[in-house]
Amino acid sequence: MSAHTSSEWLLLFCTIAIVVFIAITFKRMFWDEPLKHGPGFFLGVKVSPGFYEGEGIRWLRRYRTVVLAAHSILALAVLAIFVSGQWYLFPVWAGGGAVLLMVTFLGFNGYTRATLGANPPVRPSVAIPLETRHLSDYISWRGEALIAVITASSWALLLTNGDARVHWKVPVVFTYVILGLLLLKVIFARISLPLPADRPEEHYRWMEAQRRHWLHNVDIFRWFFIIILGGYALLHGWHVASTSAWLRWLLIGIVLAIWLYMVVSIIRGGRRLTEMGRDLLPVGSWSTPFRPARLMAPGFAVAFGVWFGGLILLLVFFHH
Amino acid sequence: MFLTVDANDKRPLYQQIVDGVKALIASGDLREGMALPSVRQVAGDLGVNLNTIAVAYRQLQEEGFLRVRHGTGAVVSSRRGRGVEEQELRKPLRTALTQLILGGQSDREIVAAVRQELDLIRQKGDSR
Repeated sequence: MSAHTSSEWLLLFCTIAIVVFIAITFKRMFWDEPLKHGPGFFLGVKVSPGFYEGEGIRWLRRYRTVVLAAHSILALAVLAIFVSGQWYLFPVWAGGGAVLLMVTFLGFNGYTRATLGANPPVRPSVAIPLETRHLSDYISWRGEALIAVITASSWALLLTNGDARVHWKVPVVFTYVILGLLLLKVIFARISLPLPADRPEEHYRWMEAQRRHWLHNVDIFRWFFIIILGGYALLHGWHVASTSAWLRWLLIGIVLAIWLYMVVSIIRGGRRLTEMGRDLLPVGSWSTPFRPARLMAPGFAVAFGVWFGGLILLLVFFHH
Repeated sequence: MFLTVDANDKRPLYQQIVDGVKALIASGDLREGMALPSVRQVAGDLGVNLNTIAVAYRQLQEEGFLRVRHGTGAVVSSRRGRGVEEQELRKPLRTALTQLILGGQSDREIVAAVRQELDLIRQKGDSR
């Protein structure tokens, strides 16, 4: 078997592994997501008894179809990358895929809340946690400093030694993603949510666990792009690296490993959170006399919209 | 540690917070030097205006229970309020006792109820 053929086999293996992974993610993370709080809820929206014997069947089918469509697009895209051999598109696929799933899921959630959950139950009693929360409890400034150093070094390397093949959209878009996600992290760490007066301790621990889970996964997602940015700078700014096949494979391996780790972390963390919150009130499933029921804080929704819109604009700008 | 506020309660929201913090201090759950969340955090968690919480914190500060440091939050400063005469403190007790008498309770029942409430507050503190 020639070296060329073994590379192709390796890529085929990776592609199949990714497609299998997408199927597992779909089944484990998304398939039964609307049911995770029991038959009294659909995607965290309170429903009447007997819902799943009538209207609920249609809602469940609609949800699964939408999410399956998003996963199918991801699977077809990775197969297209394999067939065309354009592996440089893999980071775009991974990043875009994560955003596609998030937007699809949140979009369906928003639609469900606007229709099925338009009149959530009101609870007059609200608990206030007296624990202080600081930004430094959630964000490691040492880690952020390391990220800043890697990002700045990558830019310095590209600006001083970058070869003629440098596509500037890569460092620009990736830096935008890395810095923009820090802003979203800060907002996410500051999000406030109402706490029901019954079992406040359990609800609070569960909400905090959710906050830490998503902050952790956003961090993994950022490291995915940081490694690619650093690797891109090395391959295009350091002539020794640009001719090194093993370094290229090492970078691909690290990037794949981070991506797999992120998926595993999301699945395992999600299962743990489901266990923790099985009989607790889902976030945004109830309103208080002081605030309406919301899936996410308006500030976070606006910031995410601005960040995502900026990303699209950048991609369109560089495409032309 | 949690405070509970109820929209059906006749007291205004800020007063519920003041009373709740005082109860936690009295029971020993909140001790001298312990930090309370910032006005912004409490207002955000409840979904109310910053001013509502600021008024509650200001009252606790004026009564000598809290020390508010700008930007860093509030700290429990003392278990005893300052500048409040015993006669002042007795006023709400007198009002409550009047209500109990008017409610038809005997002296014995009232003393038992007061003892029970007092024990409840002390027990909470001892269990920490």
